[in-house]
Amino acid sequence: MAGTDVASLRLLVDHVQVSYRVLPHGSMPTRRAMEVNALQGVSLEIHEGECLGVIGRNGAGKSTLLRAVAGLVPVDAGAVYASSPPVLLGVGKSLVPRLSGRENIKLGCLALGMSRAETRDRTDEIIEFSGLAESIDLPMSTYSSGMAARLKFAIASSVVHEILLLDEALATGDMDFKERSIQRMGELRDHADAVVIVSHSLSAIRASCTRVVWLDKGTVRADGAVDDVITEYVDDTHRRRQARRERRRARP
Amino acid sequence: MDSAADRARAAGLTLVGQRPRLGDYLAGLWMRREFVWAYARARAQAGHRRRRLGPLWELLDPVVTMVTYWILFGLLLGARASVPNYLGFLAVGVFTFAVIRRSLQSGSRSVLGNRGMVSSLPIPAIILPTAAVAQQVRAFLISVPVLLAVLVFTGEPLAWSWLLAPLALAIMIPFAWGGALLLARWVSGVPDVGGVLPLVLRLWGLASGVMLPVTERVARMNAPEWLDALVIYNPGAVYLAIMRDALLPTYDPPGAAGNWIAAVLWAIVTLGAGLVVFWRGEGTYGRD
Repeated sequence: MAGTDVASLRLLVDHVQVSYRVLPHGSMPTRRAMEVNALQGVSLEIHEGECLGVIGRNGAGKSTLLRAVAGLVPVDAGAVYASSPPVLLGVGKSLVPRLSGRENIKLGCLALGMSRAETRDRTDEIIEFSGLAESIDLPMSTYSSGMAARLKFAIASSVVHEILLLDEALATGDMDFKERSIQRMGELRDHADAVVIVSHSLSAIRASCTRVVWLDKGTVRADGAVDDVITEYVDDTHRRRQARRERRRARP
Repeated sequence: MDSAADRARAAGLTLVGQRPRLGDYLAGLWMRREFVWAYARARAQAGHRRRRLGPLWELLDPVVTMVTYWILFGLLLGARASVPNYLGFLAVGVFTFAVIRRSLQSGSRSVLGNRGMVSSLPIPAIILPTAAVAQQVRAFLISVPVLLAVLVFTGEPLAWSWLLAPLALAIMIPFAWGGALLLARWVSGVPDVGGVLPLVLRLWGLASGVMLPVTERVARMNAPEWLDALVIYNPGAVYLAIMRDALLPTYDPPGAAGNWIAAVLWAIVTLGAGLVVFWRGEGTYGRD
């Protein structure tokens, strides 16, 4: 396999386990916290120049994997090693919904580590990219979810990172914005050393990734060449659909 | 085959999500000081956005509290007679204790209430309680003219000691910050604590002498010495005492210079404990 050489290694995910503890609803104070195992020992290696696509069904642990790699969610076991801090471009929460888009841009840029001067310089560019010039001075709470997502992506993607993690929620917005986002993601990818993309859009994965991992119930089900893994995943989805249909037919 | 850790080391990779050393952690906070200040301002503005009088509430909030207490304690309970300038005494008490009370209260909720932010932005969580305290200090600074106006109107003589007030504030801020950090970690682990906190803080204010000269009464009673010391040198009473020492020449709080020493000690101990305790919890705050 190409790129198993240590020198080009950029990101190493070693048997990572993440579980969430949740208190079940509506029971007495003596209730036990339930464990939800989101990741059950995931291992990956990503080398320089690679763009890894992560696919899988809803709840397979894709977003948790990205957040664990970014160090935003504590891991219960295992470890993540990286050549520089991985940065997750997620849609995330808007900072202060009651404040205007412009004020949120300022806060977002400062939070990303820009100086006050840089923030001022970037603001116009971010507003232009978001395409929200008309409503930029209205409180973000008045934005539609699509508009908010556009602004948040415009803020988050205004910085170049060496190890970039992209969550699929990014491809939101109307056709025009979607095209611009995909283009912006391409530019970010070209400047990054290594990229991990989570997406349900298999065509987007085919178009940009050099390798694909299929995550299923918190474990790696397949890891390899783009077309092979996608074919396997699609076949599995078809089989499930077929099985569901047969069960339905079997019912009286 | 060598272990993953060995491979990582050979490739020059470092562990992600590991708690930085305390010094680096604080350096990270210092690097983001502009964000802390902007966020504190933004939070204050957002809080007023729906009110017609907007930022004027920054002044009205403590005034309303002060008037309420003046009617309740000054007029109805007759506390006016207990101090030479009761309204001045009350004004300094209310404005000063508001910084501590509101810092601790909003600081305690700041991490739990913003988990979304902690888990989606690469920022150290210590920013949140710090911004909450900055917001309260900012509110206090804005309300200073009102406080001084009350003092002048009630006939408090202008004195050189007023120049000590910024020093008193500077000693109080580290205490409020440390307390906010301690409570933020506690509440993020045990959210139930947040439920009783507002009541506890108000009672603490009452016991520390925000509205009544409690410390004098205790000093006059023949209470055991340890109880005296506990009431007079509890941080709430100490910070009220040094602020009144500075701003109210007509009033002489018990404890004298000891208050200033106690204030500095409380500030150092609380901030030190707060920074270490909060830092040790870093990495657990983003969990849902």
